[in-house]
Amino acid sequence: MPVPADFAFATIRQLAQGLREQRFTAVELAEFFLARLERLGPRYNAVVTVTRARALAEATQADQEFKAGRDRGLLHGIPYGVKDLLATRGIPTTWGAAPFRERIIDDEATVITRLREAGAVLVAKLAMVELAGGLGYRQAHASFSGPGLNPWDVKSWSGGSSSGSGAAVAAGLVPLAIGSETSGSIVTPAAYCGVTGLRPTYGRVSRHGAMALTWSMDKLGPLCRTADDCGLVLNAIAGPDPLDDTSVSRPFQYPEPGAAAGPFKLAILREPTRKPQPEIQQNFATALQVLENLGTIMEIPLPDFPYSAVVGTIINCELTAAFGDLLTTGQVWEMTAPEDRVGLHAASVIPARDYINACRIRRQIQIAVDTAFAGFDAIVVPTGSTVAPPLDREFREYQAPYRGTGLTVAANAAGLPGITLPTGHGERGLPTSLSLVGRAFSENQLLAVASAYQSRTDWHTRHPGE
Amino acid sequence: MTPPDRQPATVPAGTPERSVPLSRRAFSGWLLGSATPLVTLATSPTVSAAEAQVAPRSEATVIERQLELILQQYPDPRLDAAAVAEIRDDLETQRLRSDLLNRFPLPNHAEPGPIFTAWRRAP
Repeated sequence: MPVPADFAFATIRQLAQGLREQRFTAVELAEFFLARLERLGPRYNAVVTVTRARALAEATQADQEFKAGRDRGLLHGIPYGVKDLLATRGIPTTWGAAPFRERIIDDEATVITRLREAGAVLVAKLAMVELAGGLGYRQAHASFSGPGLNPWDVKSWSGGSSSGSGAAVAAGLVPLAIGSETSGSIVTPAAYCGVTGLRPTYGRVSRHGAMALTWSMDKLGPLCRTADDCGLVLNAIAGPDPLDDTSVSRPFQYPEPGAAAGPFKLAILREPTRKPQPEIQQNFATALQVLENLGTIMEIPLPDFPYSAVVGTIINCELTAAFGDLLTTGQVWEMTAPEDRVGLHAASVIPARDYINACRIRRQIQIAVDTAFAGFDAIVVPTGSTVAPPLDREFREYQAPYRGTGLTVAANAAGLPGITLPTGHGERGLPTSLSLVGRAFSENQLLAVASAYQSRTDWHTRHPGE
Repeated sequence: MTPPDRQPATVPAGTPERSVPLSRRAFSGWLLGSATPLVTLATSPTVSAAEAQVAPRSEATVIERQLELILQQYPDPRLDAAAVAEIRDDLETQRLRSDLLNRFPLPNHAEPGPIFTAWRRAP
């Protein structure tokens, strides 16, 4: 049976139900999304490689297992895409950068192995900002596959650095995608594209097989239609991995829906002098009215630290170590964004003392922020200060009149989890969003608050037209 | 990573109040809402435009020395004036970051998180 067109925007549970009710097979479902990827992927510069052969092999295996009575769980037979910084045997892994566009890594990322073991079907490797944006890009044209185009308005950016992951989920090219975040790369494209994005706690998900931008800050997480979908994916990919020393042994088990329905203890941050765009403020205020019905909301200050200096220094030092050979070989000159071609030079002379001191301050940040957030299920903030910038504007120029809370940088400095949820629409009809941030390893509390919010709103069910 | 959004000033409590000198370029970047010189926001309320015009000689010298070192280490004909200006901007940003980090009061015993542990292959 053909897959109904509206299943392009179905949740994982709806797709899983369709498979089990034999409304369609896993192969038919894979073909459905492969066709969308091939037809619509180029429209948004969202796809690097459609993995058709692998997808059909995995989907065929899923159908055979269903027939034999073997059910691996809700992800069994569900198509997915991954940011093209996760290693896949036999398929190029480009890191979004021209020097690596033909490169094949003879390894498989642990996240992909775990999704395969859960029965999920890899259909695409998705576009990203070159080297996950570590070189300091300032505008959207920073990937060999072209600027990420926003499905809500193709004259606007889809966000970065998980550009294709955000756009592909928003446009119904995949039901779910894996992205990575060092400082904002999951939550920003999720916010700009109007999907739900989960940044797990640092160490919750193995980084093995993922491009290293900043070893001590990189996280992998899902971009999906709903918080519930994010929980289902995290359940499959979380857990210790002997191939990644920084993966934590603390167990994660996503509970059944409705296990925690509140009341929740929430906090907002004292507002900065300058604020986000008016529509973002207005939609955030409306969202808070919904959240007020779910529990209590208090106002707290964000502990005072030089977050940007800490994060900027750590990222620059680690990425220079990871990519220093691009400087010595001259490959850095093959980068797409002109500013990225000189993004490594200055970082190569940062004193070791600065890096160590940044790490020492980071520890103080972890202690102070954990103390400040203790007693709350989530801190609620608007995700960013603006909607997606237009393609023809530098980000800093477009964002200059506005200011965000800085929580994304602070949370990444401390390795804290966060989830981003759509709250409505703003300038140029582009999505607005809020973020919930919690203490380390509090993903289930964040998912519970997010699911409760989404059960009372319908922004996550809306999608752009084709 | 996502280029940093604009953020509020963040100077730790107890940090001595003083202006961080800004180069004209860095200050212009801040006025434009630049993503890179975010650290300048931490002190921008106390920096006058006049102060921002000229970096102190010692800082400017350090930056020029670092630039020379970079050009010596990674010589390339494609490093034209615009590219060199970009690198100089980055060096100025780093100097400001470095100043913020080194002004943060850290006691001797303040250690980073665990960055090294003993290791032995599993049997």
